[in-house]
Amino acid sequence: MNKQYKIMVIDDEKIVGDMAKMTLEQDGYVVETFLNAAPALERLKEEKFDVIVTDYKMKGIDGMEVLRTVKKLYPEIVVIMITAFANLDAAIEALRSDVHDFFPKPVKIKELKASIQRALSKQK
Amino acid sequence: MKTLLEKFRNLFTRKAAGADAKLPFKVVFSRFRQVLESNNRALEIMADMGDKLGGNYIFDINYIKKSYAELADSVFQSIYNLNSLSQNKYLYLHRIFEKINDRINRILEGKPPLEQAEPVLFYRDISWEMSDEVGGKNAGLAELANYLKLNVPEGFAITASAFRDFVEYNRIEEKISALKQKYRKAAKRSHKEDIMSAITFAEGGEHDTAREILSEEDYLDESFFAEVRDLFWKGKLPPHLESSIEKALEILSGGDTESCRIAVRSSAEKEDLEFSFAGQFETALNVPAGIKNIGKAYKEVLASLYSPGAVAYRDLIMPRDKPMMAMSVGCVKMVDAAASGVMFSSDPNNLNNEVVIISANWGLGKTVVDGSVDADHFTVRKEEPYEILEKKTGGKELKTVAVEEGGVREVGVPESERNRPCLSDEQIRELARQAVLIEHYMKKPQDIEWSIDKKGEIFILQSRPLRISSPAGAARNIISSLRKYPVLMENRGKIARRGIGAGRVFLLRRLEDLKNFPPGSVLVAKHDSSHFIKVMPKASAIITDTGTPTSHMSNIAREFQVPTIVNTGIGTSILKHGREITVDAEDNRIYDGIVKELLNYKITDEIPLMELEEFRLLQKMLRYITPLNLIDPLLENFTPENCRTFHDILRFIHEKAIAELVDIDRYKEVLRNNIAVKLDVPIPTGIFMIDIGGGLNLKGEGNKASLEEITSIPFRAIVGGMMHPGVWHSEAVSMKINDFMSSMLKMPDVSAMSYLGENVAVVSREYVNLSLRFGYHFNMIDCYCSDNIRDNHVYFRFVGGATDITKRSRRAELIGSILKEFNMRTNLKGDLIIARTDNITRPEMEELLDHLGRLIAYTRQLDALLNDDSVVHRYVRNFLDGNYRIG
Repeated sequence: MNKQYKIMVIDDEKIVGDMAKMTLEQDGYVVETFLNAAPALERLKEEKFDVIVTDYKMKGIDGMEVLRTVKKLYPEIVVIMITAFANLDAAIEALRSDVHDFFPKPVKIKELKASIQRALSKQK
Repeated sequence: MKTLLEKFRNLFTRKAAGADAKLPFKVVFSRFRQVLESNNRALEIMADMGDKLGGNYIFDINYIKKSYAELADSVFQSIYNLNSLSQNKYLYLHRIFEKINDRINRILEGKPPLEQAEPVLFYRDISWEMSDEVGGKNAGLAELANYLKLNVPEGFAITASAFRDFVEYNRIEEKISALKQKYRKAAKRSHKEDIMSAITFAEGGEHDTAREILSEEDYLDESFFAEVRDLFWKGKLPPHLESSIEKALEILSGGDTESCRIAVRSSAEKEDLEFSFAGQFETALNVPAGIKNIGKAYKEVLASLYSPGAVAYRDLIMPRDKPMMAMSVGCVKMVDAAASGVMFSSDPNNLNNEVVIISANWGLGKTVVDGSVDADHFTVRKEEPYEILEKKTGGKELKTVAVEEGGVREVGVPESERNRPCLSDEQIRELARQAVLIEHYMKKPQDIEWSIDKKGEIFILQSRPLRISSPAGAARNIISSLRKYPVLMENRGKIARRGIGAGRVFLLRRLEDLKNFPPGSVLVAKHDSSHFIKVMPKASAIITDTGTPTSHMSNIAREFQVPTIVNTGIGTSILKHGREITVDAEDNRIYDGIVKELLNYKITDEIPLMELEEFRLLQKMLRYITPLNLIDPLLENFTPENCRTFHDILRFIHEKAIAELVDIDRYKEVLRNNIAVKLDVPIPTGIFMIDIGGGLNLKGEGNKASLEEITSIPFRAIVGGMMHPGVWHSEAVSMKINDFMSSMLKMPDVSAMSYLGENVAVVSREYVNLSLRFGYHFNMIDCYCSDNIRDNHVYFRFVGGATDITKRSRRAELIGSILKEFNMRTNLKGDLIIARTDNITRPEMEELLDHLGRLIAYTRQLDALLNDDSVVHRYVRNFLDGNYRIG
């Protein structure tokens, strides 16, 4: 990997960010984690990210709102949604808003990594 | 969970209706199916939860809660189903369930699993589910003694419960709160900034962040911790704790507390994790075994939880809104040490060096651990015969020795001993051998403390993960270097436990060969079996031809963290006994030879998962879920009282459900209420069949069925075997008059079986229960054979005969020997033989049943011919060679 891609993970369960950070950093990504969406969206004003992995259901600003905001302001950022339930309606709603991928929890790390790689190779 | 408890209470308040009446067979059979279903569901959830510990998924607390609720429900259902099958014979299981469920729920709530546990536990009584109670170091030592049978000093743990009692008795938490208050007040000024930023966050709707800032406790400095230490020093032992420790010391010293000396060591809750608090906590050496001295040393060790260095670990030791970290303590007998030291089971600077590194000095190990002396250094090759590669004798001017009145001190080493090695070559090699054994068991390089007493006996004092330094990222560039290793097998079967392991293949032919399993080998077997638990601590990896990732064996493999691939189909035929291989159960590949690059990659690139709260939580819960203590149904401990985990309960239920089916009395009822169909084959078996669903497809008239009309998978296989050319002998075998006389005096247990007087097969598509009487012996096969491996079982029973007991026993022995060759677990008592097997595929099952059919036919009259023991072996050989002639 020549370029160091930057990934943002937003989930109100701390372990999701911790685990994603540990495993994605292994592959050379730079990862920042947030427990809620507001400071995450603030951060986007300062720094460019390549991928955002966000939880669907969160207190305050939820995953759908993150997705819509990001697509409006930074359409080039890839958004991947994860959710506690295999929620079909949520998946459809997210896909309509141009989500790159949608994973039910527990998320298989291999699949998440593959999805990120696919997104980044498309971006090139 | 409430609903489960309600169900449970209802069970006890409601009287079982018609408990004495036998259930109709169809009902029995359908309830048996229900037991299998709920059991399977539970095993699958268990497997799924175990899999999550492997670090391949991102999960959260909701997953843990949801999975556990489903698991508890399935286990409950299984118990309920078994009781409805057995008419409430096993209601006690509900009590066991409630006990385990309670503990797991307590863990989920962040509490210790037991409300009140023993204050003192001897090492021999410590098992893995107690590791929270006794702390990492104690649990590790007990494990080395109890599982690896290594020599560790005798001792006991003073538990986490004892710690909590001490804290409560001395009102330490209240006092700490007051102290915090004091420090908070003193630090108020510096807090102003925090409060301002908290307000900003709160206004922006970020209430959590605001709260977090306000509860920062960084004003708790070293002087705060000094005051906390003082609380422990000044505390008093609660009376019951004092008397428990006193009693334990009495036992440990063999009644001679005067001359006995003890080492009192810390064993804190998270001490052996990646962030091991190495060297933070106190150890008191050579303490006289009286309660006064030990009590004082105990308090010193507790106080060291808040040692000056502890401030760095503040959030771990004293987490906000959670109970403070508990400190367990180990009390072990001092070793009268001639020499002691430290050894690394691998070279921490270069894992490619396949060596064990030993540092040693005369006397106790303190000088080596501190690095305060020029010690001896030995480098030993990491495999048999443990060749000593380097011997560097240090100056060793000083050594630590025990002082008569207690404590230790450093003394000078006599000139004559300074420049000679403190270990013999034999001792060096034996230490290296034990280091390798421990590394294999722990699945990670180890940092081990040891002592050798004046009689030359080695003691392991402590073992913890060795910190490895490796160039960052170097491990990732291994893919190209892997190309040079030939791949023996790729993408065959399913991964049951991820990881990488290497060693020589141990090709298992018979279960009893497990006792010869060399440590560090890769177990390769046709079938999986829960009996593998006996070698799991020593196995580098496991490969089986059949099996599923949800089997009992797979669950245990996850517990022991043994890389495991099941259902490869061809493992036993490709992997030759004694060959060195590397099992990559990450990418499902098996390499020829030892692939060091992969093994090192495993060690250096592992994510410290156990630093994550949820992983620790799941691991704690699984301690009450996956370990299997009930292994052999033939042993006396196979009772509900001995079920300590959900896995035990499920295993017990499966076995007892089969026993209910096998209950021969049921068949009287079946016979009375059903129309029997005669088996119409060219041999005179005299078998009548009763179809309870899909077992027969009658085409012709009348009440008889040919082989073609049998649609019962297992029964068809058995009959096929009985009809195998040459196995059914029609000629009468000459019987001596004594044989005939003894056959008139039937064995009491035979008549107790209330034989039906007919040969009967109760069949369904996937099931048969076949009861046979040929002459004077009784044979029974109960078998379920389907495409779902886990449901499959064969139960085989054979008893009696027409001749004297010696000949009958010989026949039982003959049958037993043959059944063992088919990998069945057998139990022989006189002329009664019981054999069983389970968890094998349908084709293998059909093959086995075919052989059992042949065996039934072959051995019908054999006992009259078994005049001496030597012929038994001949007939066994003949049968296995396909030579069925007798006489």
